[in-house]
Amino acid sequence: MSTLGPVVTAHWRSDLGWGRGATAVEDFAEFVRQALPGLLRYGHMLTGNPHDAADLVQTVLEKLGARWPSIVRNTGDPVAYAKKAMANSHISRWRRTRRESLIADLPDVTAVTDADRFDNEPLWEALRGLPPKQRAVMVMRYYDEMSEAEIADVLGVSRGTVKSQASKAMATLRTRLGTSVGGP
Amino acid sequence: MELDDELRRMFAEADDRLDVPVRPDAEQLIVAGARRVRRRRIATATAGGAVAVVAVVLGGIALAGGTPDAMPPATKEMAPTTRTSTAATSTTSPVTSTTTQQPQNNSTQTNQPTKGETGQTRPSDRVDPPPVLNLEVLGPTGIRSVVLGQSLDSAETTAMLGTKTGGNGACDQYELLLDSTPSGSVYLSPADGGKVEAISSSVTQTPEGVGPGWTVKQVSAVYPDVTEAGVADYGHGFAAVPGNPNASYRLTFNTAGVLTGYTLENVSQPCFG
Repeated sequence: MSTLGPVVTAHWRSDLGWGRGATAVEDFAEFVRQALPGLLRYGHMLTGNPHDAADLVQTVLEKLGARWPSIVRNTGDPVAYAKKAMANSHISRWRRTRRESLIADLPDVTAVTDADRFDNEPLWEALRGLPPKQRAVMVMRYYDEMSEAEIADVLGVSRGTVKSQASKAMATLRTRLGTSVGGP
Repeated sequence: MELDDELRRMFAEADDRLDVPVRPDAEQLIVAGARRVRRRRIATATAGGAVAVVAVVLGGIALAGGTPDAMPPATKEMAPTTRTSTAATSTTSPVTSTTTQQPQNNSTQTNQPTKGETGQTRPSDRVDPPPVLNLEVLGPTGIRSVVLGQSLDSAETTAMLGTKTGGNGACDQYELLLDSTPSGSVYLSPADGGKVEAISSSVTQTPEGVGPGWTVKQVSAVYPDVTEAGVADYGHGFAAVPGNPNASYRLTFNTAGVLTGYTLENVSQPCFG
């Protein structure tokens, strides 16, 4: 059996080549540290509940982190990138069973409701009742204040689709809230 | 557009109510998760079906559960410990042998992870290429910042020591945590306030690339001290640790002759026979 000479501790860090080594990892960790609260809020808007929000954010950030050097290189705005990934991920995974979130510090109950936080907000409840694509459009239009064209770009759909999703959502919300049906 | 305004107002004011409290180590969990994703991608990109099976099994387990206990190899395979302390013959662990057998069946591997170990030819035996594992490395002195001979105080600061899971009078056994996931055990003797004597895992590989799924023959090609006869007698084989004359690898095999895990231990360890 050969002796190895200088001991080859093939430590995973050097094997994987993060691009710029330790710096790239630190950048990503720092990005996570700063962006996490806002992304979780965004995830909460998209999914309607904190468990799914945490799950969504964790999944998206892990994938993003695995490609961090190229994302940093190719996009000017990793936060916008993450939000786009979150919106699409949420919509496409609508039927997936919910997983326990590893990162949320929530009581271990099956249904964590926002009831206490959104007591006086029937609009929030009504929004939660929307299908994911409609809700995502609402979030992007009224929270991100994105234009129809921008929303279409994020979701990879036509402007017409965005328009129709928005009007369906508004119609549902109006019905739920008992608001008189006015314009579009 | 009353509803319009209402929506805008709600979102503008909703921030506090939309906060999701996070664990203090959320960031580390995410960074570690990203590493796992990247590792799986590299594994599947550079190797054939066999590695993909192992990598996907391990990766799938890591992602699938909220409970770290969902990793069967790490929790069910405390076998290296129990076997050695009771000197029992090796027991089969069906789950583990299934997942670790598969890489053998798809022996499309052309990569020989053995670094420089090409000379161990046995003309009468055809040795299928062993699986390339891409696991964390345990050996020759330890794993990450947990090393043989380390004090308990120092080991505690690494965040790699979990709950104390046992003791046999000679040594205490703690969970080994890799990114907060139980991944094996650390054994400490009580000497000098506690000293690391052995580290075991079924989800690591040696610096030479040996790890779960390898057959006795394949291991023998890397560590000739490990023989089929020896393994048949004891359920494990011992190998000197290249680069650490004070340590041994105790390699544990199931009844099918497949490596399920190993322990890096001080030659002088008082923990097991």
